[in-house]
Amino acid sequence: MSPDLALDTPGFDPLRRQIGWLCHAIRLMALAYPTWVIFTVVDLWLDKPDVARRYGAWLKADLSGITDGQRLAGFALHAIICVFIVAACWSVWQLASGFLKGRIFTADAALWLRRAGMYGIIAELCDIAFRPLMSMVVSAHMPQGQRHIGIAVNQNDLAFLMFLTALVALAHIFKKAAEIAEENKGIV
Amino acid sequence: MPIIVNLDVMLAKRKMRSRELAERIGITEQNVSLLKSGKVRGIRFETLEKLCEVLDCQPGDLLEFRASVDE
Repeated sequence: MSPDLALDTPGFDPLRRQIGWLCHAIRLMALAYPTWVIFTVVDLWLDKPDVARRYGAWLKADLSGITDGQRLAGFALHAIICVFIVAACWSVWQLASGFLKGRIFTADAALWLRRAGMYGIIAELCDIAFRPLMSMVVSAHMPQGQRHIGIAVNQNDLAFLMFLTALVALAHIFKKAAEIAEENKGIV
Repeated sequence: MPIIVNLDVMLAKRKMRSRELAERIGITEQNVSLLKSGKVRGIRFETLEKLCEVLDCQPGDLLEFRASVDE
């Protein structure tokens, strides 16, 4: 694909006007969501009684003896997920910014959409995979035989994965549309 | 490409400049230039119709098929 695909898609001004407010809303959410998530994660792991209460309720165990090292490990697991969430939201920000500049059916728009979907899928899969790990971390101070391994997959996980996979599929469609738009540029 | 665009010949016959043609058919001068040099992937019927109208000619006067030498 030629590099000039990154240029504006001509003839899409009405569409650009239509989706302008949506793009601004998307950008706002792409900024707010990771900020909120990071704040929640930091706030949770800084508060020892809250960690013991929340994870204790999930594992149905008394986790009041949780150590600082365990909290740090738990925070590290959540931080890994946060990195992918930030990457996904950054991709969404870039995608919406490109739309606002008129780069709609372009190769870079398809790439940012694909990145958003892929980082989102990785974040979601990490979240699911880290749950048993997290339960082991928060119950590691307990005597052998009382430690827990919690496995949890819920409906929201499936919904997130479905929407994120749809984004990746859409990205492939967008890429093809960008190629068609490029071909059409050669028709006078 | 075996399709030859004879727009430059037609422009010379009509003593018309590319700029004037571009203005009259409503496309950019750059696109007229690309069309003249045959560096386009295709031409819309709408553009062809306007070209024929402005240059008072037939599509066959503008487009020509020449089989490739190696065929």
